[in-house]
Amino acid sequence: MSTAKLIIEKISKSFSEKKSGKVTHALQDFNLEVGAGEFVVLVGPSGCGKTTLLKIVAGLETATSGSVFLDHKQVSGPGPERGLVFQDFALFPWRDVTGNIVFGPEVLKVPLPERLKMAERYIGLVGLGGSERKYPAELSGGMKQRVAIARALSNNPDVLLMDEPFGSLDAQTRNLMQNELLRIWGEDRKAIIFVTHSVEEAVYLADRVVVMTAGPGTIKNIYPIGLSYPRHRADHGFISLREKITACIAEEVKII
Amino acid sequence: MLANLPQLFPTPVDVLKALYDLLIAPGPAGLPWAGELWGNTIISLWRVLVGFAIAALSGILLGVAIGWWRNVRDLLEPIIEILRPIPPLAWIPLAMLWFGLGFTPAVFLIWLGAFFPILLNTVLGMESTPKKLVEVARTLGANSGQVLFKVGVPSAAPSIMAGLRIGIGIGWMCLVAAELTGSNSGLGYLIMYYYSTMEAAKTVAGMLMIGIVGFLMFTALKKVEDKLLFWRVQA
Amino acid sequence: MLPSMRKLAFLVFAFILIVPLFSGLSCAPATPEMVRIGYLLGDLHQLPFFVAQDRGFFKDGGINVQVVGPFDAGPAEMDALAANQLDMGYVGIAPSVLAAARKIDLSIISGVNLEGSALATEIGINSVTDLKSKKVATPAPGSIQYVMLGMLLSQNSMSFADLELFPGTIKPPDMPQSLQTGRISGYFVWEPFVAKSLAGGYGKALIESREIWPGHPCCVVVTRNDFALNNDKVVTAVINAHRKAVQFIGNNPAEARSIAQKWTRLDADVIDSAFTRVKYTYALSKDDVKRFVREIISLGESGTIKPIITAGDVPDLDAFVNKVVDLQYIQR
Repeated sequence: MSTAKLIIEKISKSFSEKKSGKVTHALQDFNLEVGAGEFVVLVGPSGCGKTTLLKIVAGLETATSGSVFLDHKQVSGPGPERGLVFQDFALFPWRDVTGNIVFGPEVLKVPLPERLKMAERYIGLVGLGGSERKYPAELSGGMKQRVAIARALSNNPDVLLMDEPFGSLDAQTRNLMQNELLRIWGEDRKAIIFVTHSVEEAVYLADRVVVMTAGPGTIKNIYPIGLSYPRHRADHGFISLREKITACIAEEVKII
Repeated sequence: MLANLPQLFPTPVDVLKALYDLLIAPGPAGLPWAGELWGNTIISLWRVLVGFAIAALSGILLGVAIGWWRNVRDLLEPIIEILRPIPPLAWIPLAMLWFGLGFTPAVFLIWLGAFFPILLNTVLGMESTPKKLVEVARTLGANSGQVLFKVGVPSAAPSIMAGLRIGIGIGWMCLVAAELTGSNSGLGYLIMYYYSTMEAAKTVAGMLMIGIVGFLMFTALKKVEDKLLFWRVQA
Repeated sequence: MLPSMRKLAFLVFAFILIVPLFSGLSCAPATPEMVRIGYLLGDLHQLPFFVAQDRGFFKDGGINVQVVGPFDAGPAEMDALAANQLDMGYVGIAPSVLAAARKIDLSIISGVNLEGSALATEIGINSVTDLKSKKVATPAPGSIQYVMLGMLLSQNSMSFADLELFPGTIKPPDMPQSLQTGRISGYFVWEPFVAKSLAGGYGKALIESREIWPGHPCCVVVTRNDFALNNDKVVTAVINAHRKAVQFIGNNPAEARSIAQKWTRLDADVIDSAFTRVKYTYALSKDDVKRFVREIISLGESGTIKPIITAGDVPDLDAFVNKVVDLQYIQR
């Protein structure tokens, strides 16, 4: 029996359009195991189903067949053990930074003093000290994403699911946030499944990079990244991995 | 016709004098101390506020239910779509038949005017709840009730407030029509009274008062809205 | 003043100034032989007008009548007259006197009827004082029934403050039903809306207007002075037709009844009952008009009613009545 934290077993997903009856196969027999505290990044051509997979793990979509197991218990529906971070932050605009971050513990009925202590901890963790009372409308993109991450972490999930979280940030902020994420992950080591379009980002962050095939998506190849943190983008080993993975994806694009 | 000019054209001075006369004249029954102008204004304001409060309560409650649950919407939508186009004025005979004289039929008509904008804006607000926010809430462990009250309703708040603002405007405009059905007090009644005794300056003074009070109510509500919804992104 | 409030005030005043201008300009001046005559809703007092119209008395006189209305109450009709939407009108004496006191340029040129209104009440009411604190309806303030109710109350040492009065917000045709359903305890209105409650068995005529002032004038015919000045022949023809109609009613009650039914939409027995209280005429007495104005002024001064015409409005009552009442047409 595998000791992996998260087991994704034979996941397939098909969508059928109501009107035309046309069937799209998004995922086909996807299998992956993720260890506790492991940082896995999914890359692949557009339409390969990586976001769909993430949603299935999050419990916001149901698979057509196959199952997801967390600590050997089957997953159905969303829950606080699997935190989710979107590309467009999805912060609650009517709540301030603290209000957003305590949302998780609040709905789980954690008593107020504990909630506030938790919020304080995560605000410190993501480096937002001093902004507790600010509202999303007043925050920059990078700050918003920090709030989103803190919020996702607030229920102490076993897995953090991140769907292109830095996609809408400018290049400088993006690099900054990548480092921040690594620092946070260093202090609070959770399993992370991270989806991105950027191969460079994948190589910079991941323990393993999973390349998906074009739709219907399944695993084409897995590249363990053996480089030690912090990584250097100009490094020879970095560049060679990046080129390999890019080529791997390019094959899939040609096939389409 | 020119011979009748003075009657048809009260000058601004005439209107100001009329306003003064109305301020010091004795007030309506129940409010003799308030003066005729203020006494009737208070009576009308009270009617509109009660009608509006009922409209806000019923409109928001119903609007949340219809906007959030599809089967509620499917059930109630046909009834609402049939009733909505009927102008409040058309309900006047029924209002008198059901509710008699004075306070109640007036409040009913004001409620009718305010209800639909509030309902429709609430429905719209609930239906426009961003799907991502619902998803995030669910991944954070919120149950259906919590999603409704901690995500749906706050998200709909700007739309609801807009509906309230429109609703009170329409409710106030229905005032004159409402008070013409079996009232004997209020600003609408006052205008009708002085129109009948052919005192044009006082009629205009009453109209002016209606305009001013309506404007003040509207402004007050806007201030409340700005305070409550300060978190909105300034587009 | 806040800029936004100043803007609001400007808009309101602009609106006030512009609307009457348009209402005046939109009406074409009456062409020769054409006349616009107004009348009151379902008012049995104005039967001569209905008869003259239906029996073609106006046509016989060579004039074409455009019927304007019906109006719910006299003040609205006088407003239309002032705004040149009417040339002549059948209206109550009180609104016409009121309009004249407000400097509207009109003349009262003929009587139409005497008496013919009454105070209808619930069966259980036995005297005027029983109406204390009760709800009573009348047509719009300034109407003759409104004033006569004031006279009645004054005769019983009461005032409007002793009742819960609803002037003008219950339409006369709705008054019988309001009595029936118990919303009001009484109403003072023109026939046939009194007879309706009697016929329905839920009301009684507590006091008839002739008991308050025997032979009092009620409806009259008025004309705009500028119209009469330029259309003397037309006005004469109208009054002649009116006179013929009054005589016709006296001689042909059955025919008169069916015309009344058509214009008021009430049953024959209701109209018959109403007929017993109405006297049709073309006569007009200056003294009666004088008395009427005096009554309105004194009722206002004594606090019985809210002042409508004050002594200050008509400093010389004789001169006022002489100017407003023009008997030349009925004397021709």
